[in-house]
Amino acid sequence: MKTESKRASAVTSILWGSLLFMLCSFGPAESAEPIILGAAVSLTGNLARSGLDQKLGYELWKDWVNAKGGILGRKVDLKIYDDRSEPMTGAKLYEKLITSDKVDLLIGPYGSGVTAAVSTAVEKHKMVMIAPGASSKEIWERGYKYVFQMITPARYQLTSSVEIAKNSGYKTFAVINADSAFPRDLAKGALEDIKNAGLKLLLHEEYPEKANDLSSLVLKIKAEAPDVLIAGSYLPDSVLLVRQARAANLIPKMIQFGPVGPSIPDFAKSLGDLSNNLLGVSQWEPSVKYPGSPEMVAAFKKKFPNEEADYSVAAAYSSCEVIRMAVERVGGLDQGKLRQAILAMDVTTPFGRFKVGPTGDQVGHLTVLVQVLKGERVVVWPAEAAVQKIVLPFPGWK
Amino acid sequence: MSQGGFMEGSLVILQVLINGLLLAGIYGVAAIGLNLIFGVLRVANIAHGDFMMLGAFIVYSLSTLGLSPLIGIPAAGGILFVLGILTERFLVEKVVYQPMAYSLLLLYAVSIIVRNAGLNLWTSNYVSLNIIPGSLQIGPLTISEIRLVVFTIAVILTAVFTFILNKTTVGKTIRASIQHPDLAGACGIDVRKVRALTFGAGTLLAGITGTFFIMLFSVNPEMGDMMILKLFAIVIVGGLGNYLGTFVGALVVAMAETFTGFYGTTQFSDVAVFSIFLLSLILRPQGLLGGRKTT
Repeated sequence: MKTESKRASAVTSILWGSLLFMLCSFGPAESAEPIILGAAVSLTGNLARSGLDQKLGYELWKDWVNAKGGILGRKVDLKIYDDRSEPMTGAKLYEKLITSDKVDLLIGPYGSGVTAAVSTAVEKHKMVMIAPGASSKEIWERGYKYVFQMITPARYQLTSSVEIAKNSGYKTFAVINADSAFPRDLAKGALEDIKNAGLKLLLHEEYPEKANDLSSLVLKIKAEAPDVLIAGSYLPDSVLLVRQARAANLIPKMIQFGPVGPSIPDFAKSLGDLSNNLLGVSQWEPSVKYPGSPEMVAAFKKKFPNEEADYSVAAAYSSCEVIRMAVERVGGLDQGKLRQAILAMDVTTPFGRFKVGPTGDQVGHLTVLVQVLKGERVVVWPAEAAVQKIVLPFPGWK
Repeated sequence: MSQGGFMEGSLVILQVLINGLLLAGIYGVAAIGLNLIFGVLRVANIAHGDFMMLGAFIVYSLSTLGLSPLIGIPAAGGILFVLGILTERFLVEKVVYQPMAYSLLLLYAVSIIVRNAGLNLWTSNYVSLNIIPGSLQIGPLTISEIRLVVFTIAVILTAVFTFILNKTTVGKTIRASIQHPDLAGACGIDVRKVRALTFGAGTLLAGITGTFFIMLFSVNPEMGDMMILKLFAIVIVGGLGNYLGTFVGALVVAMAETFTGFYGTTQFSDVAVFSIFLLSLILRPQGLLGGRKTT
């Protein structure tokens, strides 16, 4: 009896032992293998600043997702290269990430130029990529299936402004823009929005980006006396326009710039009191209250106390979030299924709404409106992100 | 376009004229230093715009230290004067009266060095100083105060330089050095010294113009590009070496710009400016007021 039970217990322990061995060799080993996200961003060259912000966003997200147990029970790791701000280098590095590093998932580079080059390599290998740093619309007009836009393209950046003008009872518009690609796309979008809203356009004119006198244009706008002035511009021409509008006492009810204007600190620095009450748009601001955003900003400040969380950080972080949601919905890493999942998504990330059109271009994300109030840049729209109430009509120059 | 109740037709023209005149002041003061240097040294100073940039950023740096532009402007002028003299003595002097290509290449190198030093010192961010942003209101007409100030200084500077060149001994030595450098040298004029002083005076004017630019525009260390071609057009339309002519050239160019901007579009302003430049090269290559004279 004694020997029998001994034998039995020996058999049981062998059975248990081999089960344990199997668990050790298969189960835990499987979950120890991390999911690798690969990207190349600009860490040197002329796009280095924004590229670095994007990298910080990726790293912040990695910490966050690993702290809550990774994706599908697997840890997440990053593989990030420097594309030196060169489109061709970027494309080569993505080839390397896909074919030689064999990363599981891709996330995008910074800038429309690099993204355009990279997307061709990515599309060839049928890998899904969310591009957090490309606002150009051309990238999404080439029939590509695997590349998705994160930020609001130029076309829709002034959409909320036109809507606010309409809701404020303003009916007539003057739209001006610098004659280069981005300001032109901004203005074209505004023109379409004005038309679709049944509002009246009194004047649309382009001016040279490097103009050193806009007095004649300002005089024409003054003659038309529009309710709203919309300017698609860069910084130097924005500053010149404001100065000459002030000198000519041009006082419409609303003065709206694109993303380069009141929403960047240098604008108020250059113009002082003249920048007050002018409106700009921004992809994202640290003060917005989208779900997860305040927590992300807090975590960022803790991890990178010497850096400032700007929109590139938020867009990068949130594009990883979109990828995570897609992987969890699919329950695996099949790129074709991930693509379908992303196309079907309508979600809110710390960056705001994410919803893409059939070509992968961003149609859901809205810009926030920023107004300079008493020298401070303040988010004034939408209501859920606003820190203060929007000041309209424009009270005039001080 | 409808002018509904805004301004009478003739008043609008007057407003465009005023805007053009104020712009001419800025162009005039920017071009006069360029012309002065060309008149005496016969070199086309393509680094002029970069010297303007130095003036602009010296005033900017001083203002970030809390110093008023009233101190910053003369300081920038002084620094640029010394820098101009050094540039002439050690660089430009080596190529003076050589074929034009020598001095062009040399000054192009100077331009690149100054610009990149500027980019390193002040980064490529755009900056601006916001000083007297208001405007005078005369009936329905408005006059930008800062542009009026710049215009006034431009007129005074032109008058002073014309006076110095025509009525003073210094002016006579400069003119002698322009007309017959060898003969002037034989008469005991230190032509080398005249050249250095003139180049210094030219860069001083560039520096002061730069300080105006940072109050009128938003600029970065690459601002030299913004104006240099137009400045050459102004000098040539007015007549090379003719200082009053420079002012007339500035007036023609500025008026072409504002009127085209108002009756056409601002995009066509530069087309108008450079068409006038081409026409004047064909029809009056010596310039509107004639060149190679100092009056």
